[in-house]
Amino acid sequence: MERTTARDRNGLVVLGYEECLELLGEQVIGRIGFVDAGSPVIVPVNYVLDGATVVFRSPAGAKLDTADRGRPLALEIDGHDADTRTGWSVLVTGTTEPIDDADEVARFDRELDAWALGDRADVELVRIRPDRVTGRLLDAPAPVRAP
Amino acid sequence: VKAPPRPGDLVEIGPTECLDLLASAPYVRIAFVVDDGPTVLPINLVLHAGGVYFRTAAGSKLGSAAASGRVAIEADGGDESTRVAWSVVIHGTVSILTDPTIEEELHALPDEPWALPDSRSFWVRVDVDRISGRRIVRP
Repeated sequence: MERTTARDRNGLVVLGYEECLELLGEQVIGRIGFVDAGSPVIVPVNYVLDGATVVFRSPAGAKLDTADRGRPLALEIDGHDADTRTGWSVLVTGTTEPIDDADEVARFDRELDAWALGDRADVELVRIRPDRVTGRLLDAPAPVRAP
Repeated sequence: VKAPPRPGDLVEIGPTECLDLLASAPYVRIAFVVDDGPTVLPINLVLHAGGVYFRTAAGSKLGSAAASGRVAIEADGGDESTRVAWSVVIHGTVSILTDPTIEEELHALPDEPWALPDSRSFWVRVDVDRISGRRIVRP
Protein backbone atom coordinates (compact mmCIF):
# COMPACT_ATOMS: atom_id res chain seq x y z
CA MET A 1 0.00 0.00 0.00
CA GLU A 2 1.44 3.27 -1.07
CA ARG A 3 1.36 5.80 1.75
CA THR A 4 0.39 9.33 1.03
CA THR A 5 2.37 11.98 2.85
CA ALA A 6 0.08 14.97 2.42
CA ARG A 7 -0.84 16.61 5.71
CA ASP A 8 -3.81 18.69 6.70
CA ARG A 9 -3.69 22.01 8.56
CA ASN A 10 -3.51 20.19 11.91
CA GLY A 11 -0.50 18.12 10.92
CA LEU A 12 -2.44 14.89 10.41
CA VAL A 13 -1.52 12.67 7.47
CA VAL A 14 -4.25 12.66 4.82
CA LEU A 15 -5.16 9.10 3.85
CA GLY A 16 -5.93 8.32 0.23
CA TYR A 17 -9.20 6.85 -1.00
CA GLU A 18 -7.77 3.35 -1.45
CA GLU A 19 -6.29 3.39 2.06
CA CYS A 20 -9.64 4.45 3.47
CA LEU A 21 -11.42 1.62 1.63
CA GLU A 22 -8.83 -0.85 2.90
CA LEU A 23 -9.44 0.28 6.50
CA LEU A 24 -13.20 0.13 5.96
CA GLY A 25 -12.81 -3.45 4.75
CA GLU A 26 -10.85 -4.44 7.85
CA GLN A 27 -13.25 -3.12 10.48
CA VAL A 28 -16.74 -4.29 11.49
CA ILE A 29 -17.90 -1.60 13.94
CA GLY A 30 -18.42 2.05 13.11
CA ARG A 31 -20.56 4.95 14.24
CA ILE A 32 -23.24 6.45 12.07
CA GLY A 33 -24.09 10.12 12.36
CA PHE A 34 -27.26 11.71 11.09
CA VAL A 35 -29.42 14.74 11.77
CA ASP A 36 -32.75 14.35 13.54
CA ALA A 37 -34.90 17.48 13.94
CA GLY A 38 -31.81 19.66 13.52
CA SER A 39 -29.75 17.81 16.13
CA PRO A 40 -26.93 15.36 15.48
CA VAL A 41 -27.37 11.73 16.45
CA ILE A 42 -24.55 9.18 16.77
CA VAL A 43 -25.03 5.42 17.06
CA PRO A 44 -22.51 2.55 16.96
CA VAL A 45 -23.34 0.00 14.27
CA ASN A 46 -22.05 -3.15 12.66
CA TYR A 47 -21.29 -2.55 9.01
CA VAL A 48 -19.83 -4.25 5.98
CA LEU A 49 -18.08 -2.72 2.98
CA ASP A 50 -19.88 -3.66 -0.25
CA GLY A 51 -17.88 -2.46 -3.24
CA ALA A 52 -17.57 1.27 -2.74
CA THR A 53 -20.65 1.43 -0.53
CA VAL A 54 -21.23 0.65 3.14
CA VAL A 55 -24.10 -1.45 4.49
CA PHE A 56 -25.04 -1.34 8.15
CA ARG A 57 -27.67 -2.52 10.57
CA SER A 58 -29.79 0.35 11.76
CA PRO A 59 -30.72 -0.25 15.39
CA ALA A 60 -34.38 0.04 16.33
CA GLY A 61 -35.15 3.35 17.96
CA ALA A 62 -32.28 5.06 16.14
CA LYS A 63 -34.84 7.44 14.58
CA LEU A 64 -33.40 6.66 11.18
CA ASP A 65 -36.15 5.91 8.70
CA THR A 66 -34.63 3.01 6.80
CA ALA A 67 -37.08 3.46 3.94
CA ASP A 68 -35.61 6.92 3.33
CA ARG A 69 -33.61 7.47 0.20
CA GLY A 70 -31.12 10.30 -0.13
CA ARG A 71 -30.89 11.20 3.53
CA PRO A 72 -27.45 12.62 4.47
CA LEU A 73 -25.52 10.20 6.63
CA ALA A 74 -21.97 9.80 7.93
CA LEU A 75 -20.12 6.69 9.06
CA GLU A 76 -16.93 6.97 11.07
CA ILE A 77 -14.40 4.29 11.97
CA ASP A 78 -11.17 4.73 13.88
CA GLY A 79 -8.34 2.97 15.61
CA HIS A 80 -5.84 3.86 18.27
CA ASP A 81 -2.59 2.49 19.69
CA ALA A 82 -2.13 3.60 23.30
CA ASP A 83 1.56 2.60 23.37
CA THR A 84 2.67 4.56 20.35
CA ARG A 85 -0.02 7.25 20.80
CA THR A 86 -0.93 6.94 17.16
CA GLY A 87 -4.39 6.77 15.66
CA TRP A 88 -6.41 6.98 12.49
CA SER A 89 -9.96 7.71 11.45
CA VAL A 90 -12.02 7.37 8.29
CA LEU A 91 -15.20 9.30 7.55
CA VAL A 92 -17.72 8.28 4.89
CA THR A 93 -20.35 10.88 4.08
CA GLY A 94 -23.14 10.19 1.65
CA THR A 95 -26.79 9.43 1.40
CA THR A 96 -28.96 6.49 2.41
CA GLU A 97 -30.44 3.88 0.15
CA PRO A 98 -32.87 1.23 1.36
CA ILE A 99 -32.06 -2.43 0.74
CA ASP A 100 -35.23 -4.15 -0.41
CA ASP A 101 -33.97 -7.10 -2.43
CA ALA A 102 -34.53 -10.33 -0.47
CA ASP A 103 -31.32 -11.96 -1.76
CA GLU A 104 -29.29 -8.91 -0.74
CA VAL A 105 -30.93 -8.84 2.70
CA ALA A 106 -30.07 -12.51 3.19
CA ARG A 107 -26.48 -11.95 2.04
CA PHE A 108 -25.85 -8.99 4.35
CA ASP A 109 -27.47 -10.83 7.26
CA ARG A 110 -24.82 -13.50 6.76
CA GLU A 111 -21.93 -11.09 6.19
CA LEU A 112 -22.59 -8.69 9.04
CA ASP A 113 -20.86 -9.45 12.31
CA ALA A 114 -23.03 -10.57 15.19
CA TRP A 115 -21.53 -8.08 17.65
CA ALA A 116 -24.42 -5.66 17.32
CA LEU A 117 -25.34 -3.27 20.09
CA GLY A 118 -28.91 -4.45 19.85
CA ASP A 119 -31.06 -7.38 19.07
CA ARG A 120 -30.64 -8.91 15.65
CA ALA A 121 -34.41 -8.98 15.16
CA ASP A 122 -34.68 -5.25 15.84
CA VAL A 123 -32.46 -4.03 13.07
CA GLU A 124 -32.88 -3.09 9.43
CA LEU A 125 -30.34 -2.83 6.66
CA VAL A 126 -29.34 0.49 5.12
CA ARG A 127 -26.79 1.27 2.42
CA ILE A 128 -24.69 4.44 2.35
CA ARG A 129 -23.92 5.68 -1.14
CA PRO A 130 -20.79 7.75 -0.42
CA ASP A 131 -20.20 11.26 -1.75
CA ARG A 132 -16.89 11.57 0.11
CA VAL A 133 -14.50 9.17 1.80
CA THR A 134 -11.75 10.83 3.82
CA GLY A 135 -9.22 9.62 6.34
CA ARG A 136 -6.59 10.96 8.72
CA LEU A 137 -3.60 9.38 10.40
CA LEU A 138 -2.01 10.69 13.55
CA ASP A 139 1.45 9.25 13.10
CA ALA A 140 3.35 10.95 15.90
CA PRO A 141 2.63 12.12 19.44
CA ALA A 142 1.15 15.56 19.67
CA PRO A 143 3.75 18.29 20.08
CA VAL A 144 4.59 19.15 23.66
CA ARG A 145 3.02 22.39 24.69
CA ALA A 146 5.15 25.27 25.79
CA PRO A 147 4.60 26.13 29.45
CA VAL B 1 -29.65 -9.91 43.75
CA LYS B 2 -29.51 -9.34 40.01
CA ALA B 3 -28.98 -12.30 37.71
CA PRO B 4 -25.70 -12.13 35.75
CA PRO B 5 -26.16 -10.80 32.21
CA ARG B 6 -26.77 -13.43 29.58
CA PRO B 7 -25.85 -13.40 25.89
CA GLY B 8 -28.00 -10.95 23.98
CA ASP B 9 -28.99 -9.03 27.11
CA LEU B 10 -29.11 -5.27 26.75
CA VAL B 11 -28.46 -3.47 30.03
CA GLU B 12 -28.93 0.26 30.53
CA ILE B 13 -25.98 2.07 32.13
CA GLY B 14 -26.73 4.75 34.69
CA PRO B 15 -25.58 8.38 34.18
CA THR B 16 -22.76 8.25 36.75
CA GLU B 17 -21.23 5.14 35.22
CA CYS B 18 -21.73 6.64 31.74
CA LEU B 19 -19.60 9.63 32.75
CA ASP B 20 -16.98 7.29 34.27
CA LEU B 21 -16.80 5.35 31.00
CA LEU B 22 -16.52 8.58 28.99
CA ALA B 23 -13.74 9.81 31.27
CA SER B 24 -11.81 6.55 30.94
CA ALA B 25 -12.10 6.30 27.13
CA PRO B 26 -8.81 7.26 25.42
CA TYR B 27 -10.85 9.30 22.94
CA VAL B 28 -14.44 9.77 21.86
CA ARG B 29 -16.31 10.70 18.67
CA ILE B 30 -18.28 13.86 18.21
CA ALA B 31 -21.17 14.25 15.77
CA PHE B 32 -22.20 17.72 14.68
CA VAL B 33 -24.01 19.40 11.81
CA VAL B 34 -22.25 21.20 8.96
CA ASP B 35 -24.31 22.62 6.09
CA ASP B 36 -27.32 20.55 7.24
CA GLY B 37 -25.30 17.33 7.00
CA PRO B 38 -23.81 15.14 9.73
CA THR B 39 -20.07 14.93 10.43
CA VAL B 40 -18.31 12.61 12.89
CA LEU B 41 -14.73 13.07 14.16
CA PRO B 42 -12.58 11.58 16.92
CA ILE B 43 -11.67 14.01 19.69
CA ASN B 44 -10.21 13.94 23.17
CA LEU B 45 -12.78 14.74 25.78
CA VAL B 46 -11.89 16.18 29.16
CA LEU B 47 -14.15 15.79 32.20
CA HIS B 48 -13.00 18.33 34.72
CA ALA B 49 -14.67 19.62 37.90
CA GLY B 50 -18.13 18.58 36.76
CA GLY B 51 -17.72 20.06 33.28
CA VAL B 52 -17.21 18.48 29.87
CA TYR B 53 -14.66 20.08 27.53
CA PHE B 54 -12.69 19.51 24.36
CA ARG B 55 -10.19 21.44 22.32
CA THR B 56 -10.55 22.30 18.65
CA ALA B 57 -8.84 24.46 16.07
CA ALA B 58 -10.03 27.82 14.83
CA GLY B 59 -11.17 27.61 11.22
CA SER B 60 -11.78 23.85 11.34
CA LYS B 61 -15.25 22.44 10.70
CA LEU B 62 -15.63 21.54 14.35
CA GLY B 63 -14.19 24.87 15.41
CA SER B 64 -16.75 26.70 13.30
CA ALA B 65 -19.58 24.58 14.69
CA ALA B 66 -18.36 25.07 18.25
CA ALA B 67 -19.45 28.67 18.62
CA SER B 68 -22.91 27.30 19.32
CA GLY B 69 -24.90 24.29 18.34
CA ARG B 70 -25.94 20.79 19.17
CA VAL B 71 -23.50 17.90 19.44
CA ALA B 72 -23.68 14.20 20.21
CA ILE B 73 -20.62 12.55 21.72
CA GLU B 74 -20.05 8.79 21.74
CA ALA B 75 -17.62 6.33 23.27
CA ASP B 76 -17.70 2.58 23.04
CA GLY B 77 -15.63 -0.38 23.98
CA GLY B 78 -15.63 -4.10 24.19
CA ASP B 79 -13.94 -6.85 26.09
CA GLU B 80 -13.24 -9.95 24.03
CA SER B 81 -12.72 -12.14 27.12
CA THR B 82 -16.03 -11.30 28.80
CA ARG B 83 -17.78 -10.70 25.44
CA VAL B 84 -19.33 -7.53 26.80
CA ALA B 85 -19.64 -4.43 24.61
CA TRP B 86 -20.76 -1.01 25.79
CA SER B 87 -21.56 2.36 24.33
CA VAL B 88 -22.27 5.74 25.88
CA VAL B 89 -23.75 8.81 24.19
CA ILE B 90 -24.20 12.30 25.54
CA HIS B 91 -26.17 15.08 23.87
CA GLY B 92 -25.60 18.71 24.53
CA THR B 93 -24.96 22.22 23.33
CA VAL B 94 -21.48 23.61 22.80
CA SER B 95 -20.05 27.05 23.42
CA ILE B 96 -16.58 28.52 23.39
CA LEU B 97 -15.06 28.48 26.87
CA THR B 98 -14.53 32.00 28.17
CA ASP B 99 -13.72 31.27 31.83
CA PRO B 100 -9.97 31.97 32.17
CA THR B 101 -9.64 29.99 35.44
CA ILE B 102 -11.04 26.79 33.95
CA GLU B 103 -9.04 27.38 30.77
CA GLU B 104 -5.86 27.55 32.82
CA GLU B 105 -6.76 24.35 34.66
CA LEU B 106 -7.49 22.56 31.39
CA HIS B 107 -4.20 23.70 29.91
CA ALA B 108 -2.37 22.16 32.88
CA LEU B 109 -3.72 18.70 31.97
CA PRO B 110 -1.54 16.33 29.92
CA ASP B 111 -1.85 16.24 26.15
CA GLU B 112 -3.84 13.45 24.58
CA PRO B 113 -3.36 11.68 21.23
CA TRP B 114 -5.86 13.68 19.20
CA ALA B 115 -4.77 16.98 20.67
CA LEU B 116 -4.17 19.83 18.29
CA PRO B 117 -1.31 22.27 17.87
CA ASP B 118 -1.77 24.74 20.67
CA SER B 119 -1.39 27.95 18.73
CA ARG B 120 -4.59 27.61 16.71
CA SER B 121 -6.79 25.80 19.20
CA PHE B 122 -9.34 26.82 21.79
CA TRP B 123 -11.45 25.12 24.47
CA VAL B 124 -15.11 24.33 24.03
CA ARG B 125 -17.59 23.59 26.82
CA VAL B 126 -20.36 21.01 26.38
CA ASP B 127 -23.57 21.66 28.32
CA VAL B 128 -24.87 18.12 28.62
CA ASP B 129 -28.64 17.62 28.66
CA ARG B 130 -28.91 13.89 28.00
CA ILE B 131 -26.75 10.90 28.94
CA SER B 132 -27.44 7.33 27.89
CA GLY B 133 -25.47 4.13 27.86
CA ARG B 134 -25.96 0.45 27.32
CA ARG B 135 -24.10 -2.75 27.57
CA ILE B 136 -24.66 -5.89 25.56
CA VAL B 137 -23.39 -9.39 26.10
CA ARG B 138 -22.24 -10.87 22.82
CA PRO B 139 -23.96 -14.13 21.90
